[in-house]
Amino acid sequence: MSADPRIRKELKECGEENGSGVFAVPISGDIHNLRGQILGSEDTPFQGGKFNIEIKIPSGYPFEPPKMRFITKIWHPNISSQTGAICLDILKDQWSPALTIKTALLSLQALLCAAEPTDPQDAVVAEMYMKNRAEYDRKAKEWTDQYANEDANEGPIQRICEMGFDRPSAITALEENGWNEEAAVNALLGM
Amino acid sequence: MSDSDSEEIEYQYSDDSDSEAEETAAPQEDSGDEGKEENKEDKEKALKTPKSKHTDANPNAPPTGGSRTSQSPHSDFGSPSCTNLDLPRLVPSSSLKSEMQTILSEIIEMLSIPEEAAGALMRSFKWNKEKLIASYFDDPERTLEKAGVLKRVRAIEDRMESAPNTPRTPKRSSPRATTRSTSKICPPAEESKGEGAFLNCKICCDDELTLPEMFSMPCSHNFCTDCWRGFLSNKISEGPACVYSLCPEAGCTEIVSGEEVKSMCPDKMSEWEKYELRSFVDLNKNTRWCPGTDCTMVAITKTGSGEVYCGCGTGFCVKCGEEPHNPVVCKDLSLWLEKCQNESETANWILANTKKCPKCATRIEKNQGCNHMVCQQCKFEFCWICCQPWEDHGANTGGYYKCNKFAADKNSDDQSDAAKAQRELDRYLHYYQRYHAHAQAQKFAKKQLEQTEQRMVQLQDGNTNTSWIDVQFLKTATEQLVECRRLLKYTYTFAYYLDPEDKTGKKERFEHHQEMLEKFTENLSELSEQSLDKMDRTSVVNMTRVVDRFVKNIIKYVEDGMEIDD
Repeated sequence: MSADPRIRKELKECGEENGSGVFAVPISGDIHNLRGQILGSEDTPFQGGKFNIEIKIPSGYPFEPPKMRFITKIWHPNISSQTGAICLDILKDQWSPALTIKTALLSLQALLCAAEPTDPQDAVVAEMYMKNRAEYDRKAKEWTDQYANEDANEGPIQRICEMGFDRPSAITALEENGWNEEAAVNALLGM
Repeated sequence: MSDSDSEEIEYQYSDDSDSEAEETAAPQEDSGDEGKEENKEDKEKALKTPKSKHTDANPNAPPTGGSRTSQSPHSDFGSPSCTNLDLPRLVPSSSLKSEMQTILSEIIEMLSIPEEAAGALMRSFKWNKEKLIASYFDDPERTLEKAGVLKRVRAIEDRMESAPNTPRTPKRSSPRATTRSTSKICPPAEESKGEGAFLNCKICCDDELTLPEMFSMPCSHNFCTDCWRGFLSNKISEGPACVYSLCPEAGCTEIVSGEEVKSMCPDKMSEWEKYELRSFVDLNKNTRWCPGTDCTMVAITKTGSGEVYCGCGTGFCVKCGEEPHNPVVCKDLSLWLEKCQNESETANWILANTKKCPKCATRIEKNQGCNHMVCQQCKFEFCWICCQPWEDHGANTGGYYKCNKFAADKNSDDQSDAAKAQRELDRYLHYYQRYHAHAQAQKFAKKQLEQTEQRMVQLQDGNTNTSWIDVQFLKTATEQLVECRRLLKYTYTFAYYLDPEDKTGKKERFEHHQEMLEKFTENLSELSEQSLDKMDRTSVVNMTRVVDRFVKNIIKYVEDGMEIDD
């Protein structure tokens, strides 16, 4: 049974500007390879940040969970500050085929509001969260402003798009290269 | 490779207080003693049997505390005619289904629960019937919910109740009240709409489905049959964990049973049943797969302990799955094996495999079972364990076989940490080297056993008056040798975990038993390795019997709690 009709239906419901604070769009028309984004909730250190998520839909979907990873660097106990790997039960053994990409993204947004430091993905962040909450809040906000602030980085994105790359690819390349424009262009050109 | 003239003298070892010594000098008298021993065992059995039978006859009788013997707390397994209830049984995997069914029937009858829920209930209690029963009588609601069968049980009860003339037991509580706790996390099932209205499947997102195209478990979460098939076959293809699959609805804790598989994926039913049986053996602490390569036999016990020798040639401990390791307990064995693995990288380990000839310093690798070494270079005879001249081990020096005793370093008053660590390492190496030596010897003895049949044929051919029965002694002796090496190996693990400061004499006494067994095992090893023309049947037979006696002695000594009888 192909899951493509379901994925298309899901994408229709969680396209850009759907008002829920999360969305997912296919990269270069490939519906098994999506770019998700969640907005940081208010009254959290992530407020105002736009966090990009790499979403890969496995062939076993929806019986297997979608594979998700933060591309935008983020300072959070349940997300690796190095790789963006996420520790969230519904993306692992608690996944149910009745869940969707949108519900998974909303769960991620909720995770940003309520961290689970007892089940950490990043031990360093978790320790800071437990022992020095003020310092954690400060650093999480600093990272949000530095890495999740797309508007401030609009210039390089625009310039790369003008070279003929689509927007999600441009953002991914920039983020993976620490917003170094030259390195991002080299990566996109396969150099 | 070894041939000792001092053998005869060693035999005449005597220790005035020891019964072993008497038997050594006159092994022929053994039979009488063994007879007595057997009588004693028979009496013990006779004492135990009525009690156990009583338990069997009343499986529903409430436990009466002290009256139940510790050996038979479970009545899950075993035919009532079996006299020794503790003895593990080996069954082929083909009879597992009936073994499992027997236990399930008991629980179905006792708790009056539907058959479809019994498997999941037992799984959630790791097939521990007593725990399930205790939990069920304490809080049936919670027990059923935890196992993911609450709605299934209630649905079947409702069905039974609405049908007239059903001999079902009365319901325990209102089925409606039970959905409270789950309704928070999973959305209540949609009420089925009237015919003609289209239904929506939350998996494939098709919203033009009709009722006959839908299927649900007793929790009433509907999904289309295509998605059910996809869901179940995906779970089953993921492997053994499929037996824990829950309803596809997010947050619903109702567990999938064979019923759903049967109606949705009948082609996957055999695979599902295979995983059910596998989880039955894996979870149940009273059962264990034979660890032999490609062997599918299963050991079933009542107590979860005991040693089993499978027809495939593998012996194993039911509790931990390792090679039988008496007198060492499983916990100590696992500590020991871990320790040996951690230390095996050191140069000391390499030293344990090869040794220098104490006289000419040629590196020698031991490739046969006996500890009596003869250097091929200088013909120096020495003991592999302690590297001292072999002649020191004879009776004439009064030394016997002293190499099993670890004498702590003389300057033991040095209390610095480094000195303590060094002493501890020395102590470990002392036991490890001997453990390792016997482990190697066990391997050689096993290899020797493989070649024994050939040797038996040769021995028979070489002598016209000899029948096949007459040469059996060689096989018996070699089998005894393998067993002795295995036991000796573990006596060093056991001794390592004994209190090194023991003043009660228990350790000393244990080492004495160990020493005797070691000494005569070496003798047997030498005798059975003789070239065929020198093979002396009578001495091999006698030595086999003597050694068997020492094996029994040491095991009994440990089993009796190492009490020294005066």
